[in-house]
Amino acid sequence: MNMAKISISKDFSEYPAGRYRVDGKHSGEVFRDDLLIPTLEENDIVEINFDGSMGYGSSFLEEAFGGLVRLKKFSKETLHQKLRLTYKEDPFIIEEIWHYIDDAPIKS
Amino acid sequence: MDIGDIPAWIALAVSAFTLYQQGKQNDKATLEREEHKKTSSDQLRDLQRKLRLEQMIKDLEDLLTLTVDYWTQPGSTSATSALMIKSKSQDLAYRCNDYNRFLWISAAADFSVIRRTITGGQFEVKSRAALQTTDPLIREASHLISNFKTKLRQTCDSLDRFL
Repeated sequence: MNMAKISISKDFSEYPAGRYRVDGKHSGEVFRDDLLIPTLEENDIVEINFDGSMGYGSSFLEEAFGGLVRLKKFSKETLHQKLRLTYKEDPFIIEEIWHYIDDAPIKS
Repeated sequence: MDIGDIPAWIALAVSAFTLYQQGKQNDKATLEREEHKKTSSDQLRDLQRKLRLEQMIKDLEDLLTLTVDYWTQPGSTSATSALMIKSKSQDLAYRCNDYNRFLWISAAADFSVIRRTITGGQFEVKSRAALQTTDPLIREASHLISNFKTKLRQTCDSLDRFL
């Protein structure tokens, strides 16, 4: 079973910001398409650590995680099997992310 | 027993009684000192908690100012306010978790709703147009932050035994 770890502050940016790619190189869309999707495709389990950044906007989180389901990249069930999310500093962010995944509208 | 020993026995009994009384007084005084010490320490703890809550109220007022400033400017010109909103929200969220022993039970969850409201949707989207101050998002943010501040004040009042 392959397992990968992503530390957002170390592997992506300490200043994640923006929703779409045009909003900056550390946006939710860039994180999702360039780092998260390839890692999810290559591994059975992906552990994501959110500690160490300068804060997350909900728009970033919704685009990065809700976008996986909304754009039909992964199903909710697959994400529940594959993703392990940790954030010691603010556990409510993790609840928020699962809410974005579980309630994401799916584009027809 | 010699009759001359009686005053000595009386003196001994009086001494024993006095010693017993003194012991009782000392115990009472020690108890009172400990109670006083505990009350003072509780009062100091409540004061320190109150100061922290008052600081949270000030920070929430700053957060509302930043929020209104951010959303009433177009997305292309408000990156600094956005960073400050995220940093302040993160700090307040940590404090809601750290102070859970003396905040209300849903404080962290309530603050999470505030953060979702003020940093969701078109937050940090460069093409976003400026909102009017009467926009539902700003009204909702003001309402949520105001409710949170009210609950913090009520917690301060309960620490003062005011309510």
